[in-house]
Amino acid sequence: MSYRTDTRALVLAVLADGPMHGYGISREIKKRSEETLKLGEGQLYPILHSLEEHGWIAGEWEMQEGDPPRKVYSLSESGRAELAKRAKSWLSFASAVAAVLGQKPEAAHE
Amino acid sequence: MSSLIETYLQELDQKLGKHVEPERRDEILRELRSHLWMSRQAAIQELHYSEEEAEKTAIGCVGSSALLAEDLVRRESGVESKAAWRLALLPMCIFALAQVAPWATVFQGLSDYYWIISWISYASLLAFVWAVWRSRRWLVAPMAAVLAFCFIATSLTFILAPQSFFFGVNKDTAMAGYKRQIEEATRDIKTGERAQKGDLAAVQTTAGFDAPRKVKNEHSFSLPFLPFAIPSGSVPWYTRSTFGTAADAEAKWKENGAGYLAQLRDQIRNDKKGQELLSRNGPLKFSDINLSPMVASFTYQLLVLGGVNAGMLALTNRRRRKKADLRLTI
Repeated sequence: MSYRTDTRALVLAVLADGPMHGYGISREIKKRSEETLKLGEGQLYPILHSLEEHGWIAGEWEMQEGDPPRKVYSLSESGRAELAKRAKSWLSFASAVAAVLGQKPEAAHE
Repeated sequence: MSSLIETYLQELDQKLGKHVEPERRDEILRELRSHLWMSRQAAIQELHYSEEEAEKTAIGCVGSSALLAEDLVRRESGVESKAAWRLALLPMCIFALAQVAPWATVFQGLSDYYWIISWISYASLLAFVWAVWRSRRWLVAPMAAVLAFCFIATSLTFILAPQSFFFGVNKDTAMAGYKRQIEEATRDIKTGERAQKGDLAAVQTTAGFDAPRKVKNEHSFSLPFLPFAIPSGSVPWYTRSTFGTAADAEAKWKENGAGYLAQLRDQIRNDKKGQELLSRNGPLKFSDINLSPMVASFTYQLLVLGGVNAGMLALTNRRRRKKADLRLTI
């Protein structure tokens, strides 16, 4: 797994809070990271399709009046387990890096 | 729906066309349409952009249709959608080097000449295998283009500057070499004719009498991509040896004399052809040269590359089908 950009974990984490469409996911990542992480919107769909193929998320079409129908994704049970695994792995990596840098992970964020 | 967004989606549709099933393509485009629409609406409402500005911004955030199509095609089919020549750029370069290297004077002087030439050829095949494996595409066409270009360039060089095909020697040295060989062969024919008539004094040396002995001249040829030479049989060849008794020598001259002298006459004919070729100032004609070995090599290399490409595609498609079956059964 690449620690530099584990975009899959980011997408899974956003969907952990509830179903969302692609555009909403990209906005949410930007918002939560305070604009530090700007996921290329074009990159998002191949990732979503891959997560869907793994069965970690499920997509469902939602009809809207006046606007084009949109596909809303929700996290599956296996996706939740995958997120927990990736989050654990990421956090242990982040604290190891912080320890080497001589800072606490929280301090690194400040 | 806006024309800019629809144009963008049409471009994307065309790029996905060859590689993604129509149903799946339709779903992807619907999803992107809704994304672009929401992005457009947000730009209008939050940033107060005009409709056109908002559409351009929305499209800009998604990125170029070519790059997006490449990502989507790779994701959907495992196939690289870039132009074949871009995918095969590395093997094409090494392959071109492998074609040109045997003629390049920089390699000809090296003691490891044959080793280097062989390994460049293996490297080009390995690079080709890697490119096919990575892209899962037919890449024979760009390789054939390189091969054809090198074939034409080599043939033209042969026709326009035949001197450059005489390895490691300049024109004067080559001409002097031919002259010496023709003189020696002419002298040998004269003495041989006398010996054949029974005048063994013409071939008498301090060690005995020289007479032709028949030996086998083993032939083999090496092919690009193959790490060994292939034997192509043997042809009778005559060489001079010394015999202790006149009777033995006389018998050998009777047995092999005619073949030996014919061999010397052939050699003189070939040397004279070489002399003529080198002494010309103008270009050669196609009829002057034998291009069939080059044509054979061209065809052989294309067949090998085609076979490797076909085999690898069959293998990767089988793996992919197996993987898909596995997903369905879980």
